[in-house]
Amino acid sequence: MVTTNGGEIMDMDEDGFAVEKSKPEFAAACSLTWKDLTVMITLSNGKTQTILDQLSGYAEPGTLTALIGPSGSGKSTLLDTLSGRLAPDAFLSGAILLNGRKAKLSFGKVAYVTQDENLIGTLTVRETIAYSAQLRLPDKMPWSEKTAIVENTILEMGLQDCADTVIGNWHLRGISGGERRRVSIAIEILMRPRLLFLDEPTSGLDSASAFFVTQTLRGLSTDKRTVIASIHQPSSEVFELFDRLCLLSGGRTVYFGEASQADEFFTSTGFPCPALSNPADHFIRCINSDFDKVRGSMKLQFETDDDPLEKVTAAEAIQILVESYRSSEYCSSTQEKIEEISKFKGSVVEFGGSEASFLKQAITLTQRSFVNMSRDFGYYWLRLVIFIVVTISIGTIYLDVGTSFNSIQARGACSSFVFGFVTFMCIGGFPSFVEDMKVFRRERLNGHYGVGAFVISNTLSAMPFLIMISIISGTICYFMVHFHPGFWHYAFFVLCLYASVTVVESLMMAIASIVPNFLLGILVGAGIQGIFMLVSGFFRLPDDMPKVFWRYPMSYLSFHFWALQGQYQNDLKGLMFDNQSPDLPKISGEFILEYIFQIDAFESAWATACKSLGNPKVIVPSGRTFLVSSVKFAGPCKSRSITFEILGTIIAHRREAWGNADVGEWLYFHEIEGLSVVGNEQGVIDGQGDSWWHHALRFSHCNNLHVTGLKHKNSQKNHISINGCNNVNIANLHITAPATSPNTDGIDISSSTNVHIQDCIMATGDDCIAINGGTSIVNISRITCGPGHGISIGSLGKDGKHDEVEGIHVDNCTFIRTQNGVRIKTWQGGAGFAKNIIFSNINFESADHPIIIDQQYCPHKKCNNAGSDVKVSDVKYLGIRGTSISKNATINLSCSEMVPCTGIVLENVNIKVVRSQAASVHCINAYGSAHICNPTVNCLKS
Amino acid sequence: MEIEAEVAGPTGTGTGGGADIETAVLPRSGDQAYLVWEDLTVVLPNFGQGQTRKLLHGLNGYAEPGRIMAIMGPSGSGKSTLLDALAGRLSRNVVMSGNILLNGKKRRLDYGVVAYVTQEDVLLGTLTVRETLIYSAHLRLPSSLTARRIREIVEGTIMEMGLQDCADRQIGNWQMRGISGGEKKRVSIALEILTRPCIMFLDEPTSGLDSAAAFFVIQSIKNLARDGRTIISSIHQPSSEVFALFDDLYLLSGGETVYFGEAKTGIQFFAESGFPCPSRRNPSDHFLRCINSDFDIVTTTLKGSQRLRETDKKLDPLMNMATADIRATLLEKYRHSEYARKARLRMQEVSIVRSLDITAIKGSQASWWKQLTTLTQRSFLNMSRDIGYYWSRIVIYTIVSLCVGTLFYDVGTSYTAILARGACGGFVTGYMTFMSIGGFPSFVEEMKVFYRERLNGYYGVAVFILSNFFSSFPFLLAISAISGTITFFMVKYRSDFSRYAFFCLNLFGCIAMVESVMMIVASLVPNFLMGIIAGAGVLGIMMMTAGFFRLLPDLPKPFWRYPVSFIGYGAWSLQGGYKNDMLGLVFDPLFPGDPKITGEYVLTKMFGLSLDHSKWWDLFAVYALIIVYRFLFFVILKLKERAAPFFHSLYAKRTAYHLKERRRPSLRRTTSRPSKRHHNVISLSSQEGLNSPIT
Repeated sequence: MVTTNGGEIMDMDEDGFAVEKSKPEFAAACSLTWKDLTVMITLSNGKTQTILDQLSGYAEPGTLTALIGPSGSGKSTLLDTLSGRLAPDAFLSGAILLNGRKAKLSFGKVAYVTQDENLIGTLTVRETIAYSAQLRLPDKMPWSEKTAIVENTILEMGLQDCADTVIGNWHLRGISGGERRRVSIAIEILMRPRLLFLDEPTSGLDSASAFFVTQTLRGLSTDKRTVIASIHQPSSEVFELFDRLCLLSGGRTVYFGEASQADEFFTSTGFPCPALSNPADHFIRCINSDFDKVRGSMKLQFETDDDPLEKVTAAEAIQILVESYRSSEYCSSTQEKIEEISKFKGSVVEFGGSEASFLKQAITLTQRSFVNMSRDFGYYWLRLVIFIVVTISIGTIYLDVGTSFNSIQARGACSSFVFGFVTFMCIGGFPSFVEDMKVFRRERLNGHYGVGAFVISNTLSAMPFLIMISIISGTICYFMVHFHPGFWHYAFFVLCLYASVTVVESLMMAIASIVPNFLLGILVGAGIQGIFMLVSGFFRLPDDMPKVFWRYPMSYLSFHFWALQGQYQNDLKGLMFDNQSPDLPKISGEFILEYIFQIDAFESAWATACKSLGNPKVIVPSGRTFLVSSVKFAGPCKSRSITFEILGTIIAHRREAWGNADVGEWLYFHEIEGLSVVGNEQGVIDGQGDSWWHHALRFSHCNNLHVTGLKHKNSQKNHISINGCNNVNIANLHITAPATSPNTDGIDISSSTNVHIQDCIMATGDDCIAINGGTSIVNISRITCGPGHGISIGSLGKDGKHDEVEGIHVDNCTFIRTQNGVRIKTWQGGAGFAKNIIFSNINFESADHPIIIDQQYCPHKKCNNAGSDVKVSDVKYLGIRGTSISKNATINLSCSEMVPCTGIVLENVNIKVVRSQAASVHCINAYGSAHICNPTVNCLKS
Repeated sequence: MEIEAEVAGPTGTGTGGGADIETAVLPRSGDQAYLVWEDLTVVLPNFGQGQTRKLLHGLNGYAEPGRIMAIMGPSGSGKSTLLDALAGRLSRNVVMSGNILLNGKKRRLDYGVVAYVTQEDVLLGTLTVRETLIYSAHLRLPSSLTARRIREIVEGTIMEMGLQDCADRQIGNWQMRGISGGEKKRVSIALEILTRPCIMFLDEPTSGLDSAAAFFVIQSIKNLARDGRTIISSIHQPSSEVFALFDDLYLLSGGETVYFGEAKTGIQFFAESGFPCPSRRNPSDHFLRCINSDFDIVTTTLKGSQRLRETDKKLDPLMNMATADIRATLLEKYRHSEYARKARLRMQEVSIVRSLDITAIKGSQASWWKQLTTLTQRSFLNMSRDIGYYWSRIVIYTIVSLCVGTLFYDVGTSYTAILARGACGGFVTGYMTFMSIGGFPSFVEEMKVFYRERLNGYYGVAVFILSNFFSSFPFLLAISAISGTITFFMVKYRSDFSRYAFFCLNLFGCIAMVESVMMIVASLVPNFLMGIIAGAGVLGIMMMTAGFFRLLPDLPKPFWRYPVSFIGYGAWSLQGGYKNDMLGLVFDPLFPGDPKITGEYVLTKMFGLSLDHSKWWDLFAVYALIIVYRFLFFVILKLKERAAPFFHSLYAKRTAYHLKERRRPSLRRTTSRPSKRHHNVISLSSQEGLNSPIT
């Protein structure tokens, strides 16, 4: 927007903008007129209040226009209205014309110097201006030109003496108030605005500083700029510098015109300015209704004076002055001037915010922010010191924490303290950040850059400091406490600390953008962090927290929760701790994680294995006991050959520890290809009894599954359930549960093919093996079953379901004191089939019902007897021997009345009934043949 | 000439404050004070670092009853130093020589002896104007006066200062809007005139006020002067109306007298000296313009940046002449002028006036008991009105204890409950008491008022501490009862009364303890932010050594176990709490089937506590610590008063060093007492409040 010839600075300064060649319209001056300006706001009680009442006036290039009036007279409102900063809920009528055209001024477009100087205290004056120049001047402009503009601005604002002094903040002594004010102005005039608004530029300054600021404003105006400033109480010297004066009271014009003629006007109205008095003081004295209050309150007569003001109240004086101004020649000449200016259609003035690209802004802001952070002691250095002190304290308290029994809790507490309280100390940087935010708000309002650039720059510039803080304090803490040795454990600790510190930082930023002040921010931040800390899993274990509010969402929202879980795993996994007394076995870190801190070590181990290629192996170490809550090992995994080796003992929580939790399965493997669960004859899975889980060890959709060598006992329901798996090999399992326990099936198979089960010993309270619908090609051999309910196919066709089972071969099995032997069981009213089933080489010892086909299964009263049934065909019983204690139906082939069984073959069956009762054979609608059977089977149809 | 170095302590009134009551009651209205100062020189010694700096150069002057004198001058001219020297409030690091005569007698005015209105208005924001005055009257006026008489005095003062419109409005603090800045200033003045002083000093009473508010303040002072009081006020840049109210003017520049005499004839003097005041100019602006060397800097800087146009130069004839030259001329002219001669003559007359001997009221005339009851009442009123002091804390505690209650709801006796109970105890006695920091800003505000009143000798340190304890007692009790009840019954500790009582008493002890720690912190740190950081650090250490994060036997013996955990309240209260909770309970074992775990086993083996003393001993230790900490607070406040001169001299050294080092021309001068004038102007009707405490 602005180009200079880069030549003599003084020349350029003196010549104004004659040197601008590229875009001549910017050389154009700005004439601002406003006519019949009325602003109203609606109060909370519904009434409207007029803030500005029919104001008219003008501001020409090369003049300094001062808006003067007592507090509440509307000068700030007028300034805001003219600069397009009026609050959106205010009602505005009247015309504001810029060079004869309707002005489109708004936030970020026009140079506006606010009363509060929000500057970055650690930068020098020159840096402040230079960074601002880089943020806003076009990228294309060469560096030398930008420097020239910066230097020129410094000179123009008379800042050359303090150019290299820092601005100063609450703990750093810097430049004076007047200098700060001039820096604020310098930043706004960098872009060479033709129109400049200032809100009370002299407030809070002493007479010399105020004089200096006003003098520079006058200097700016002489460069054909239009300067409008509201000023509260100008001193005599300052007053003399004004060109135009707009005197307001209660939103009405008391006087508008040449500043030098105001005195005449007051004299002519009957309020002459006393000799040896500051005219500005006198004007305000006349129109400040607060003086009425003073008089009213004092309740005593003033010294009689010839001062006319003592005879009339300020309210009356204002009325007189406003009336007489309206009828005065000053008013009419102002009107004429307005008409004249607005008739002349000047060039359109384009206002733009920053001209720098987003990238440039972000880079510059990052630089500036970094410089600020590195210089401001309170921002990060103080925190570093506090962190070091605190971590040294922690380090000495937990010095060389060791692996004794007590150190288990100590490690947990130490981690909790580091991630809880140490990160809490980040609050220390809050004041500095709040200062930053103030600067941001001002610059954002003035359109210097956007929200995005600010957030990015702040994040980037803070990063090195946060990393440094985390590394230093993390290193001190890690090595003094002697956490789990190893570089990666150290790296994890530091990274976790860094992440936590960054999260707290972000949290505090979010808070800073919402709360109005610093103290509230600290309170809110402390409160939120306190609650997060409470749900981090240290004060109350994750599973013990009430589910409703605390566990789900709060503990998941809490960064402490994640940091602490990560650090616990990082620290404890793989370590061994002493037990309470030396004679007891050592406790593994995994056990502690699982039991003391309730972190799913298995799950995380699984996640690692599942992601690995090759032949990953999850090992449950030997000689240790793992108390495990419900856990799902889910695939699909990258590897097609995963081994889950159980050498130790896995036990479930007891039912009461889980409250009313309704969990479908305990150890659940899902969608895993090529899984081998290997026990090597020493792994134990203990379901801790009571029937409240459905499936202790569940495999679903796991193809190429191997389960071998496990002891599995006291399941809650089915010991192993296999669902939707192809190519399953199960061998060498030892499954036990009390004979009286309900529904504790050994292995339950459904919707699977190619299942091979061999060499298992099963003694349960229900079926040893149950084969359900959708299953084909099952080879079962060398199973010792009992006590229990034997090997069952079915129940099939429950609730009219269509079930298909085929290709089952049970061979070489022994049943000891089982309720049933080999059984096919279907519900009435089902559909589908069970075919190609061979039971061969089966031995019974005192089985109750050795051979059963039961198609009448209907334990509940209401059965759908009409319609279809599951078709049973091609069932062979070959080489069945042993004893039975059955009272009736040693061989029971009760088929469906509608769909008969076909192809039933019995060969070499020899079952002796003990306890002196005769064996009985019972058939319903069964077709087939029998050879060499004892007892004799002759009820088969052919 | 007699040189006297100011070395005495601030008041030396001791703990009681009532010990030094002088016989005088209220000065009769006829009492008049003539103040004369001769050859007053104030030197800032530069300890071993070259030359000393003269702040005042042999000033002479006098002040008469019924007149109001303005001490004026540019920044750094010595206005405040002169005022402080006359009022006997010079900081301890400067040396004063010369005579100050009050009614012809040489006497040292000291803190608490004369009425002195400081620049800052240190008032309790929650009290109304009337209450502020009544409490102050009760604190300072003799106990023999009836309540009715005191009320009359207060009402009279309210009328006198024109405060009747805002008499029942609260003064306001950073979180609450209140009366305006001008009204605050008038309340400060009203407080000082309660004891009817016959001489009064004011330090820049109009700074930060707009013309109407400033006018009101000075007008009310003028009314006071008309009653025969002697009033001396420093003032910076008065407006025309305000300047017109002053009778006498003492114009200073660089510690030297530019003019002393009637305010009205000052203009004549300047005219005679060749610098007439332009007709459209405020005389005070003109005076300062002539002698303020900052304008030289403005001129040179402007010349440097080529901003100064020929036209501008014509506008202001003074621009052609350096203010340093003008000042030299004026000093010279004044020395030989008629005004100086007149002043000397009058001084001699006045200095031999032997009017009635003034028996100054020193500090307070109220009895110790009266002070205590009044202060307790006032403090209680303040606490019950200030939302940030205790109410917000009650709310926060209720919320937090509900959080704790739901989180640990019905904790039970399973194996994990052992840890949960421990954690719950740790959280309640540790983190929850941490929340007490919330009341810190309010306490800091109260401390400010205490410092001012203590400096004026209204009451002693002990009275303050006791009153604070008594007034905060109901609140602390309420907090601990409410949060104790909620936590106790939600977590379902065993509900027998003695355990419940112990739980609440323990919580009360912890809260009172944190309160005491924060008091000590407040007395040691310079500002609010540092206070919060330091307080958090100290409490954090106490929490860390309490035995929850690290078991007591595992704490390193040398530092952490042996002094730190013993002087921190945490270890005691946690032990007591654990004993209260666990003794007699039986927990489930880790593995089902193992024998049950007894509470004794948990305490001794898992938490490493020894059971050789009962929980009541632990509770006793907490309460004993509270008393020790409060006593420590008392000792610190006392020591600070004693040690103040030492710190002042250190500060002075630094100041002197900075003054010497500062070569860069700037409009700011390093003054030892920062003036409030660099603040935005507050209008008469604008109300104050709603600002952050550190902005």
